Amino acid sequence: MRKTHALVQVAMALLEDPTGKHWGYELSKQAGVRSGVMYPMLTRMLDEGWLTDGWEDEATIREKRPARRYYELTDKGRLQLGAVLQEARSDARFRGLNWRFA
Amino acid sequence: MTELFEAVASWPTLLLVLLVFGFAPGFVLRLLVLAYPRSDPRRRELISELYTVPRIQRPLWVAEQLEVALFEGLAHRASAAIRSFNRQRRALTQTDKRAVRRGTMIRMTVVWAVGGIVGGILDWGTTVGLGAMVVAETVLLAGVLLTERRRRSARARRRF
Repeated sequence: MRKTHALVQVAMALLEDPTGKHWGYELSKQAGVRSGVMYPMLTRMLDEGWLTDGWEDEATIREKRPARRYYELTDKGRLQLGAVLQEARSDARFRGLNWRFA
Repeated sequence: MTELFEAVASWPTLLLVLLVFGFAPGFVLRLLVLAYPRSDPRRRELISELYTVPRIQRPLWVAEQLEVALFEGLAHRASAAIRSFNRQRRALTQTDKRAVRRGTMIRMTVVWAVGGIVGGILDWGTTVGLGAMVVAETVLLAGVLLTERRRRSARARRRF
């Protein structure tokens, strides 16, 4: 996958909680990436096997809304995105980013 | 061009946009997700995400989804259509191909001729005329392909 600012930002947001569930809207807010860029990226990550997806359990929803789709990082995804961040750290193109992930 | 700008920036248009995106974002979103193939989970995902977006941000968020639907949904549909078209083309025999080509050429000539006559009578501008022709040609081509598919499946049924 091409290393872009958006990919690095999404990688940072995902790796802030590497074992947790990530939701589309929250992820886009957290990463600061428009949904028009993020959703196609999530699809590519699913195709690559970096993410798995699932649907929220309807029994656990308290509000009146449909179940949401969540994304979880796979082991491969953790490795790959970790490598993306490692490379991006030493890349001058990404110097301006706000590095949150250690 | 100026007329177009005036039409887009006019008060009625602004009110319509506010009405559609501001008061019925759910409805607009449900229309937008139709761009995705029926089996695509993104359809359900976007609708369910809408309820977690703060109310004030919903119109803008829905407008953003137009981009997602156009670039992701329509792209999926287009690639599926191209795949199916190529599959159909490969399945056609040489005689079928010749017949389709001849049929298409005849129909296209008729459309151009009729379009030219109607356009001349109605005094269409060049842009409108060409636009209408392109739409007509596309519809025609889709018709030719569908007819051919139906004919082939009927032939296959007969062979059974």
